[in-house]
Amino acid sequence: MLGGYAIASSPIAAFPDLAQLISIAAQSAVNVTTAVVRTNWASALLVRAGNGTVLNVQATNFSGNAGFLVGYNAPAIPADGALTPALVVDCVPIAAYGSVRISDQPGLGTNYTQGIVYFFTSAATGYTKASGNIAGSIRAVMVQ
Amino acid sequence: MANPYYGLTPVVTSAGAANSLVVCAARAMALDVYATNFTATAGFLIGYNATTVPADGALDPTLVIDCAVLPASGTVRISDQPGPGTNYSTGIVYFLSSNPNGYTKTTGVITGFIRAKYE
Repeated sequence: MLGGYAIASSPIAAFPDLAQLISIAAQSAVNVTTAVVRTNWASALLVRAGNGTVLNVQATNFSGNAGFLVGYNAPAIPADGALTPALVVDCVPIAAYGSVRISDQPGLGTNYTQGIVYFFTSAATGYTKASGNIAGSIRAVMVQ
Repeated sequence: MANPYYGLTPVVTSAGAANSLVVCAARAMALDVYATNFTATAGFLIGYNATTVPADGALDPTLVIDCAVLPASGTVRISDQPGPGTNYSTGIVYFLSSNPNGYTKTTGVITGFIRAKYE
């Protein structure tokens, strides 16, 4: 009783359609279909040739050269040389024989509007692509 | 089918090797930021509550919202994901400083990559 009025034990139970709607909304918020894309002994990985959202990426360097793991917003692996700075979405150092991980989990992923590409570069900065010196494995998880 | 709730948060990155990034020139919530140091000089990644990048020199301590050590040739991340984020009441600015004091801005030494998410 509240203020002399009877309160239903479960107000939602009185509205089955509302209960179902809440259940569907809750499921859609947590159930995300993901895909894992990986490569071994390579210097680059094309995760997706179109718009996509990355949840995490990890890379291991099989070489004795340090460098960077770069995430690039493009539908194809770029050529060696100067990159378009606005397309460099991720850039983290990777040590010789080391591993690195960029993760947005838990949380919102990172949206790549044109395509998802990751590659190693041994250049002095992440804004220049110099392949041929670093090879390793790259694994990315994206939202399907 | 892609979940419509993923990937909607704006991602802002520095345009080329830089020492600062204006993420949002207005009140906003910072969710996540990381910086990669392209130089062999250690310093700080500083989050500043302003609409523009401040000049070198002494900072207003009340506007320094974040301050994390950035190792030489390393990376540092400040993340509030999955949330809630950190409120910047005036604007979100990040910069790299080589000064040993996080309340003094010294640029010209460190350049790097900065990436931030906000809402």
